[in-house]
Amino acid sequence: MLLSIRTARRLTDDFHLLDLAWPAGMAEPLPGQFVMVRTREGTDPLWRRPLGVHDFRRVRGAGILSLLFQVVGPTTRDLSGLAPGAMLDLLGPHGRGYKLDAAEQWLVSGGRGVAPFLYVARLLHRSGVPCRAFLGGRSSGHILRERELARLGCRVEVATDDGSRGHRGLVTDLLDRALARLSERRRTGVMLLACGPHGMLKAVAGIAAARGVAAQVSVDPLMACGRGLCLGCSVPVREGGYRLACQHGPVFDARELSWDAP
Amino acid sequence: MTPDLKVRIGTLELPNPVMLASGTCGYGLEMMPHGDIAGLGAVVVKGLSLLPSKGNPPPRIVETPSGMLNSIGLENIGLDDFLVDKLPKLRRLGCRVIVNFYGGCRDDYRELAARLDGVEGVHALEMNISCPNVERGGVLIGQEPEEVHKAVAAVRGATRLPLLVKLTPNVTDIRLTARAAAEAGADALTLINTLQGMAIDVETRRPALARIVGGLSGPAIRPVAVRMVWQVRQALSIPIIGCGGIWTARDALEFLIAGATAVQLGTVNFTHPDRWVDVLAGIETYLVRHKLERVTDLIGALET
Repeated sequence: MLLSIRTARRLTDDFHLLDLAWPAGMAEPLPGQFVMVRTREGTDPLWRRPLGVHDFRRVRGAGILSLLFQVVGPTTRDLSGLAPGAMLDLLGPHGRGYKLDAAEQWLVSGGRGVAPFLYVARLLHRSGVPCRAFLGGRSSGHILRERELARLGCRVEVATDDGSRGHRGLVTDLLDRALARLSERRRTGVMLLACGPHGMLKAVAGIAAARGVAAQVSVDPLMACGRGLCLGCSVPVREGGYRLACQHGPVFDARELSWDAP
Repeated sequence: MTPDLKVRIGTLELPNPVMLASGTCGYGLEMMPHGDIAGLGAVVVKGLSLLPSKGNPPPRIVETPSGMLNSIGLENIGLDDFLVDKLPKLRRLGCRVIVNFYGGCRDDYRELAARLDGVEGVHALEMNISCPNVERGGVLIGQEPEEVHKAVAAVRGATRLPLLVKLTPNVTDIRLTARAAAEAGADALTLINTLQGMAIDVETRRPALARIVGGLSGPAIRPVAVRMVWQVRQALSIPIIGCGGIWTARDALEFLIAGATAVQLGTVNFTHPDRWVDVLAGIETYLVRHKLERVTDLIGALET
């Protein structure tokens, strides 16, 4: 389907934000779901690209889908050049997202992994569930949506590799420290929601297991179709065999995945 | 006047020549949100084995210029789950179903064919012979004419259903394996399966796929497929189903003109799940524009 672009905004050097008009009558996306987009006619690139739902809100009844992306290749470069009024070819929303049923949610992101969390924070804010966010990135230009998350009631902490903003080091160090300070009783009510590079997700899974908290992680393998047709986006699971990121995920219980399999 | 799109493949009559290729449309049901699959000539479901198969480790796919490589490893739910969970739904939809299947040895092939014979809702079989024969040190059945003959003859003896044999293009002369399949009793040949290929991440010096080598599909392979369809058409009279990188109606027409009786859309389904509707409409428009009453008038109509 074709969605029209309402606003297009550059956030930092290579991060951009698009607001699109969501067609009336379409089911609302769920937090952690993704859409498949395409910017060119022809066959290069061949596949659509998956982009996580960054935000979804209604303004006077009309749905607005936000997509946050980093320019990493031809499709995202094209997206960064789109202006209001242009149409975007999009399929979805696809996949299973985050379950937001814990007493307290902690969000953990690396770089563009912050993408799904504005919508998550909006829904948590609406239902009055306490939320903390740990944002990691290479440098200050890779820390995004800090203010918006804070405005939705999230307590935000930041870590950068180069120390240009917040803690110098890994975001997972901040997370581990914060968990260590909680009483065991309080920890049982905490659910970690993570999105970012594989190494970060693996670290979150390890910390969650060690500290006895639950965690949901959003994975991002190469995907051709996004709908269970190509069977390309398989993720190894602990019980043996694979699950498809596009259908069973992209969000999984961290304990379900096999973190040491190739 | 509306042109007649009906085609016949052996005893199988189809309302039109457009199918979805095995391994690119799940078990057919996954395509329903994008168009009524009963409107297709047929759906060729994901290749089935006797037992479920979990497939290969990731990464399984990589994008290449106008194409993609895959090594999915024939992941599927197995014959039993297909018959119980999928086929009844396909029957209710009124969809013509071609079941693609593969085995590790001749007995597997024979058993699969025998168990699918006479099952209501299965309209034809498509035999995948581009897989290793575990009894013969993993030699690819589809690469040796004698092996092809033996495997197809075994299946032929086990089923009365129309039998399509999907050939691998990874051979020196496709006409030899095509003839072997035809002589062993195939009703039609599907040309072509994926071409072997490989891609490397130069930064890490690692292969892009966990299994190193994979199968290339998409528009990149279309000229190879069209050539093979034409070569086999010249050599044999058996019906051919053309497959390989069809992206538009124009591409489908190329295969028909080269000598294919029907076509299969594959990789395009990943990007454009409803493209088959446009391809079908485009074929019809072409026939009208060229004042042809029947799509069969176009088959093999290459002017040389």
